[in-house]
Amino acid sequence: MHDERSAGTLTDAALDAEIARALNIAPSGDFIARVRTRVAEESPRGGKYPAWLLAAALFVAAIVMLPLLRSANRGIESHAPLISRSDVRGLPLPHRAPSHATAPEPAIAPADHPRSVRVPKEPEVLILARDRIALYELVRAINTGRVSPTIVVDATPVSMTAADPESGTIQPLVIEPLALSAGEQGERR
Amino acid sequence: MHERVDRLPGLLRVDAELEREFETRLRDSSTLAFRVAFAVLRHRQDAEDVAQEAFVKAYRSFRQLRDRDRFRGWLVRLTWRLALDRRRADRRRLARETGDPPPSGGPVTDAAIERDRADRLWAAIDSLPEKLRVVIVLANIEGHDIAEVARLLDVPPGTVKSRLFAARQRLKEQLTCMMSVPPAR
Repeated sequence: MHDERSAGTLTDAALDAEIARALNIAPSGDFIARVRTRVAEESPRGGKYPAWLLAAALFVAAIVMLPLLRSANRGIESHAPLISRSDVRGLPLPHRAPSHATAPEPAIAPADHPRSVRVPKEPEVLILARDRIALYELVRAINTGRVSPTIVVDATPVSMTAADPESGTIQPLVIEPLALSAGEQGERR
Repeated sequence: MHERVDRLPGLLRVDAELEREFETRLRDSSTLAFRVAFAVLRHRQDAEDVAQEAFVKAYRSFRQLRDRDRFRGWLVRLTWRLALDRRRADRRRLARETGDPPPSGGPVTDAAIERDRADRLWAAIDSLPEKLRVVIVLANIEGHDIAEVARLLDVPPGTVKSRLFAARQRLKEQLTCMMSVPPAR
C-alpha cells in the first residue's frame, strides 16, 4: 500500500488489503469455550419456547378450568349435609348370605382407602346413621346365626308385610271407613 | 402413555441434532462474528463480549435459523447491531466519566506509526454511512465476494456492488487527504 500511495494512487486492491489487514484479528483461544458455557447456562431455562408463550398457555388453561372448578365445588357443597349424615364408611361390612346374593353390591370404601382409587358411589339412603349401624348389626347377627330370621319376621308389623312369600300373592288393601261421631257429618250450624 | 414413551427418544434425538448443528455453526462463524464486532468496537474484549451475546441470542432462536446461509447473515446483522449499541453506550459512559478520550502520547516507534495508520483507516471507515461501512467491512472479512456479502446482508448483489464502489471511493478520498497524498485520478 505504501508503494501505491507514494505513487499518488490508492487502488481498490491496496485499500482492500489495508482493511483486511486491520481486520485480520482472531478471537482469543477460550472464546468458543466461553460461548459454550454461556449457551449451556441458557439450556436449562427452556429456550425452546419463549416465556410469553408458556405464560399465555397457563393463562388460557386457568380460564378454562376456573368455571369447571366452581361448578364442581357447588355440587360438593350441595351434597355435603347428606354425606355427613350417612357417613359410616368406617364400619365393617356384613358377610353376604350366599343364598340371597344374586347381584354384586358396591363395596363400601374403608376410611383409610387411598384417594386415587375410585370407589363406585352408593346411592344415598336418607336414614340416620345409628339406624344404619343397627341394620348392619342385625344382618351380621343373622348371617352368623346369632339371631334367627324368624324373630325378624315375627317382629315385623302385619301392616308392613307387603306380600306373602309362601304363596306369592299380594294381599288386598283394605280401607276401613272412619268412625265418625254424631254431629261431625259436615253439617253447619 | 405408550405414545409418549415411544415419542420421547425422537424428541431427544432432535434436540441432540440441534445441539450438534449449533456447535458446527459456532465453530464456523465465531471468527466472523468476532471480526464484525471488532470492526465496530476495535476492542478485543468488548468484541468478544458482543459476539458471545450474539451467539446466545442465536441459540435461543436456533430452531428458526437452521439454514446455514440464513444463520450467518442473521448472526452478522445481529452482531453489527449489538456492537453499535455497545459503542454508543461506551461513548456515553466515557463522555460522562472523563469528558475527553485519553491522549495517545509516547515515543514515535514503528508500532506507533502502525497504530497511527490503523487509527486513520478506522477513522475513515467510521466516517462512512452505516450501509457503506458494513459492506466494506464484510467484503474484507474472510475474502467474502459480492454474492456472499449480498447473502449475509440479505440484499441484491447489485446493491452490494454499488455500495462497495461508493465506499471505496469515499475511503480513498479520505485516506489520501489524511496522508497528504494527491487524490487518485
